[in-house]
Amino acid sequence: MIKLVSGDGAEFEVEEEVAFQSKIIKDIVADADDVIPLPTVSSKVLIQVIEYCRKHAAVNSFPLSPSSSAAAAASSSSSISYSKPVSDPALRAWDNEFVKLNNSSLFDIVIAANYLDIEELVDLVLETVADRIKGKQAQEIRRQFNIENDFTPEEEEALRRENSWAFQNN
Amino acid sequence: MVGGRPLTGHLDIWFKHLIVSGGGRKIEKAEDMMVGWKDLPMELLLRILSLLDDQTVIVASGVCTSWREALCLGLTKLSLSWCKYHMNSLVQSLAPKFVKLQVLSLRQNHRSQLEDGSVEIIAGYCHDLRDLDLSKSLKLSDSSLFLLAHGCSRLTKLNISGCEGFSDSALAYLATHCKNMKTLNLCGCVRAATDRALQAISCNCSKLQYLNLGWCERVSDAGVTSLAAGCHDIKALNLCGCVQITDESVIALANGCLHLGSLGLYYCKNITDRAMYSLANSRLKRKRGLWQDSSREQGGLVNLNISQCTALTAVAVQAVCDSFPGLHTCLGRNSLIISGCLNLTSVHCYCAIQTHQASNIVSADHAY
Repeated sequence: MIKLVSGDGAEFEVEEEVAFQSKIIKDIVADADDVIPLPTVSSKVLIQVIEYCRKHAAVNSFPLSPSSSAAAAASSSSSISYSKPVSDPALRAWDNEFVKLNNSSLFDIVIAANYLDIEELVDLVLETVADRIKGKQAQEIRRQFNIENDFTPEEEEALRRENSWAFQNN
Repeated sequence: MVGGRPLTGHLDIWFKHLIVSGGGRKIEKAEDMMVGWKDLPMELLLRILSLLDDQTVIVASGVCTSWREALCLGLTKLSLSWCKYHMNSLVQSLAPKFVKLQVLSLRQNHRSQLEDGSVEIIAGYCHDLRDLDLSKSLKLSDSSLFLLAHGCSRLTKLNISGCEGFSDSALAYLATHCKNMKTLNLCGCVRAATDRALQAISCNCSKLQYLNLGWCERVSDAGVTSLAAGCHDIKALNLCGCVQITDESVIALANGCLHLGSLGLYYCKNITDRAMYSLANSRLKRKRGLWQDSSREQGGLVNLNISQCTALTAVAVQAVCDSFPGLHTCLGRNSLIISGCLNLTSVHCYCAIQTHQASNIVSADHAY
C-alpha cells in the first residue's frame, strides 16, 4: 500500500497498481518511502484522481471484459498497461461519465493529472475541453470557462474584425 | 487546558473540521497562483488547440491576453486554405502575432487572393517558417520570392505550384538564400522553372530531395543535368510534361542521383530505350555505392511513370522492371505506369508473371 497525502493533509491509502497509474509516483516510490506528500493537490481533487486511477488499474489488470479480450489476446501482456483505454468501450463509457463535471473541476483535475503525469487522464480532460470549445465564439468560451476579458477596447475591436474575416466564408 | 476543546465524542468532527478549514486555506493559496482556465499551462492549451480547427484557434487567441500570449509563443502550425474571401486581411492580422509559425498553408482552392503585401508581412515576422504552401497564388509577383528569400531563409519546403507570376531570376535568387530546401513544388511554374533557375538550385540547394517540375515546358537537358550534378540526394523528381528533355537528362539522373526512388516522365516523348537501359544499369552502381557508405537505401526505383513515352520498346522497359524489384505492373501495386504505350503491354513485374503462369497452369488443368 502507498499513502498519498493531499495538500490539505488528508491521507489516502491506495494499492500500488492504483498509484502507479501516475508515472511520477512510480518514479518516487522506486527510491523513497511509501508516504508521498502531494502539496499542490487538494483532497477533493485527489479523491477524484484516485477514483480514475482505481478504475483504470482494475481494467488494466483484468482486461477480460468480452469486448477487450480479443484485443488483449492479440497484444502481448507487456502492452496491456497502455493499450486498454482506447480499445475497451466499457472503459471509454466510464471515462465519458467521469468527465461530466463543470469546467472548474476539470481544470483542477487536469492540473493535478499533469503534475502527477497521468497521461491518459490529461488526454481525457483535454479532449473533453476541446469538445466544449469547438464552434464557440470568444464571448461564449469566456463565460463557460469563467475567463475575464482583459483586452483593451482597441484590441477587442481588432479581434472583432479578425473574427468577421475568419467567419465570412460563404 | 486550552479552552473550547471539544468533548471526546466530537473529536472526529473536530478533526474533519480541521482538515476542511486547513485545506480551504491551502487551496486559496494555490488559487493565487493558478486561478483557472486562463492560467492553463501553454503546453496543455496547445494540446487542446491541436484537436480543433484553425478557425477555433483564431477564436481562442481572442479569449484573453494569456491565451493570446501562449498561442503567440507556441503555435507552430496554421492553415488558412479554408478562407474564401479575406485571406489577405487575416494573414496580415495573424502573421505579426503568430511569429513562431513553422508550417503555414495558404493554398487557394477557391480563388486566387493572396497578394505580395501579405507575403511581405509573413516574411517580416515569421522567420521560423520551414514549410510554406502558396500554391495557386496567381496574384503574387517576384517581390514575394525576394521577400521570402530574406525573411524566411530557413524554409525547407515550399509549394508554389500554379503560381504563374514568378520569373526564373526570382526563383534563382530564392535558391541562393534558402539553402536548406528539401522539397520544392514548381508544378506549372512555366516562367520560373527554367534551366537557369535549376542551375541556381543545383548550386545552392544540395539537400534537395523532392522536386516537382510537372509541365514546366522550358526545362531542358541542361537544367536537369545540372540538377543531377548538384543535388545527389534527390529521391523524387517529377518531369511529367517537360517535353523538351531527352535521354541525356535521364542518363545524368541515373548516374548522379543514386537515391532516386520516384521518377515521372509522363509525356516526355523524346525518351528512348537508351534512357531505360541507363536506369536499369544504375542499379549496379547503386549497389556499389551503398556498399561503400553502408546506407540502408535498398529499394531503388519504386515509382516510374512513362505513360505516353511512345518511343520505348518492351525489352528496354522490361530490363528496368527486372532491375528494380520495387517496380510493379500488377494490380493494386501498380508503380510502373505505362498507360498509353501500346508497345509495352507485354511488360510485367515478377509477381504479375508468376500470377500469369499460375493462371496458365489452372487453365491448362481445365483443358485436360
